[in-house]
Amino acid sequence: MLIRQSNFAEHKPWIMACLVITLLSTFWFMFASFGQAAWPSGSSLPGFTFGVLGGLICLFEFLIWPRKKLRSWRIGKVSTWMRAHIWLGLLAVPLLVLHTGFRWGGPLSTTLMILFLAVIASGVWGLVLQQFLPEKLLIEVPAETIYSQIDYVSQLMANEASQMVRFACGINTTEHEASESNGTHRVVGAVRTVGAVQGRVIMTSTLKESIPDSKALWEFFNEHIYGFLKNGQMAKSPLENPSRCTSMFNSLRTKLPPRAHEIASALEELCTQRRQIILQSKIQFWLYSWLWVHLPLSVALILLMFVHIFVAMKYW
Amino acid sequence: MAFQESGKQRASRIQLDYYKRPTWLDRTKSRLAFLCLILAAGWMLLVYAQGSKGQVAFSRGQVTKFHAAWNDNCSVCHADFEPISKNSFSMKWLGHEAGKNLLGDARCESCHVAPVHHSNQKLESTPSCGGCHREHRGIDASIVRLSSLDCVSCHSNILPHMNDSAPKYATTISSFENASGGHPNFKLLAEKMTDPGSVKFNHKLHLTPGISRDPKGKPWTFADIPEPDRERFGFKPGSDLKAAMALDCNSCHNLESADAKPSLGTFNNMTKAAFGIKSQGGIYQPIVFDVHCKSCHPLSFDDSNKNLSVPHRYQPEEIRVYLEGVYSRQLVAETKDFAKTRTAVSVPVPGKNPLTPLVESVKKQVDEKVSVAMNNLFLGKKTCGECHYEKGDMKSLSPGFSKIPKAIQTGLDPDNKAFDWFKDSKLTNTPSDIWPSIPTLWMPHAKFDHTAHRFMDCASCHAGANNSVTKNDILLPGIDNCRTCHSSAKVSSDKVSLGMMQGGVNHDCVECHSYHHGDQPYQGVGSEAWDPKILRTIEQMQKTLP
Repeated sequence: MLIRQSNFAEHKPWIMACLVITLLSTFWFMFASFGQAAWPSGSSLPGFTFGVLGGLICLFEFLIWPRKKLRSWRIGKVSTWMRAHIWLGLLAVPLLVLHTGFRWGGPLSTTLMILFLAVIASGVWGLVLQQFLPEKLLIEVPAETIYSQIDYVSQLMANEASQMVRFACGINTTEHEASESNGTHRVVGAVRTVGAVQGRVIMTSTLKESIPDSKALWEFFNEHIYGFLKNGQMAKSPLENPSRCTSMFNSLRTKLPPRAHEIASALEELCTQRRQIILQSKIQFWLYSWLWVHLPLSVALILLMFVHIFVAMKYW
Repeated sequence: MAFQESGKQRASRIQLDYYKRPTWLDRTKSRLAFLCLILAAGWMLLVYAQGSKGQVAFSRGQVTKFHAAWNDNCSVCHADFEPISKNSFSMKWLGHEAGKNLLGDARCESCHVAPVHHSNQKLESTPSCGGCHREHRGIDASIVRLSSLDCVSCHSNILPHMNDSAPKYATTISSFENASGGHPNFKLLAEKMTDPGSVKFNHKLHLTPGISRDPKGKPWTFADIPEPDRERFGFKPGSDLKAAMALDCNSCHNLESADAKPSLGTFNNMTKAAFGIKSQGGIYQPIVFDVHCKSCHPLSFDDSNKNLSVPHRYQPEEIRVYLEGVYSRQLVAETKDFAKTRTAVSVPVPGKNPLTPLVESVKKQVDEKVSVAMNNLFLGKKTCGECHYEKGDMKSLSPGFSKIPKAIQTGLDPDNKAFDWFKDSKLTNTPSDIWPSIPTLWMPHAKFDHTAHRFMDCASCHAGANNSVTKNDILLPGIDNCRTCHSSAKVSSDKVSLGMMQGGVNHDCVECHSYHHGDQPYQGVGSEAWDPKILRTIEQMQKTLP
């Protein structure tokens, strides 16, 4: 969720509420500790209250997971949920620190606090990343695709390029490729299923007639392009470097008849797209990998929190 | 560029059901979440499977080393769903009456018996054991070294916490730091009490080199005391025997009874207190005549034999009987006719004792000698009358006795204002003990460790001793003397130590006071209540249950 000057007004009430509750809680805690031998513990009235509030916030925070899974339920706007998730999560920090009375306690309570702090830290890290990575994605990856489709799209791109080059170079197409063309058009697009109907023809592009003396194109395609389009970074291709890529394609054009330059440009464009997809893949890794910490630790935190509540009540 | 793919073309490559296919990021996240769930649940299952031993996971911290054997067994101290402190707000919430005795307290008391702090305190104002003795603060933490705030929470305004009777102590004490904190001066000094003891003593005289009232008079020298005792009073072998003796505080005030050997000829009827009480060094041992006084003040009664002396702690009639025994034995041994007559008269005539004249003669001599000895002991300023009062005549200021007293005053003077202050003190209160006649502890409601102050000159606190000529003086230092060090660190404004740092030494309540009075069992208050009611075997102790 972006927090910008433009949408700060939407966050301001949450921020103010968090600050006010934090200040009031701190005043109450200090007042309760006045005249006491030690900081109020979690079993004191203020400590217990902060613990209950903090626990309820943790539960609410955790509910965003099922909320995301059950988008069709429409229990409030997702943006409101996210704002509440962010600011209430941050409010839980002072509340639960006051609940501890500035003590780590034993193994369970220490584990709980470490888990809680790790969850909060990973959440803050995720929030920070979300402030600039989506923008970077928008600017630097115009060919952005759906993350889960990257492998599939890459394979399609490689196949389309292969079809184009074989036809241009007059090389027989494979059986699989032949099924995807009718001699004059190539098929572009994924296999799609709607109910019982499965098809693929969404868009076609006209295939040119074969071009003589374009053997260099076929060799260049096999040596560099196909692997790069299909496997991306794994291919360790020099085409991953934009300037190198331009240089290599310029060099290729000098070896090709002018009629084949259009094919070379199309291939160069596919390589550019592939590079963007590689960058997208990297960005999206950083954009979502913090959840590897945030969510799993939250699961453990919630489970152990219930144990803590029971034990604290039993051995008050 | 001739070939430019549109967004629509790119979109055509996307499968419509793409959202059903999780990415590896999603799959990894889900797997890690499941792993964390398994780990957390597994940990708890392991804890459950370990039974009571596993409960250590729930502990909020290591218990102190004294309770470490039960660190992993919560139920030894905790009762389920009952607060450990009855001051907890949750008492009512968890369904307990305010102020009720907790099961947790009973578990503490099954090992630790302790007297009530004050018989006059309200039950609801009496904290539970765990309310003050906070556990789970680490193995080396002290659960008895409480903050003053624990005490001040009641003592800053004690009246609402007391039952109806009038308070005996200051009612508003917030700190020891200064007079505004409300801690009064020590009661004996604040109320200008006098020593309730029944032994006369002139500190000034004894601290004067040569121990002579007349500066030009004959000084008391090492030659005047028995040879075995000289070293104990400061004589260095090879030095001048005629040198004047100069006593200091340590000549008589000893921290350990073992340091002070009794003088030769001490009788076996000394109470155990002379040797038996081995303090940790914090308390000075009682002054004992046979240990501290006899070298210079032997109870000699016969001018012809200075080595003869009567035992101490005998009343006049007991001394008379003792003297009769001594002289009878002596005269019988010295009269040869007793031996001759026994061998000469083989058949005694019935109704007539041939020894009667001789016995009568010896008896008469014994009476005469006893009479002289009794006069030596009791008349004049020397010997008994030098230190003791006749029973019931504590107000007499004249030294010595003008006649042989019927009984010597023992114990503390019941008419003295300070008597009540000491009456709980065990050593001065046991009826069967006729001694000591000097309070053993001057502040029975506080504790003081002389060992901790052994680097200090005695006179820095007990300056009055150098000029005290009467036993009535109470030579305790005032509270301000303590506050010189036992207060917050500050820069001195005193002329002598101007600009130097002063204070900074502990000055919290437990530095001097104990809630249960248990660490000073001599003092009597609560000492018997500390005796455990149940004795356990080692096994029973280790799996303690109420």
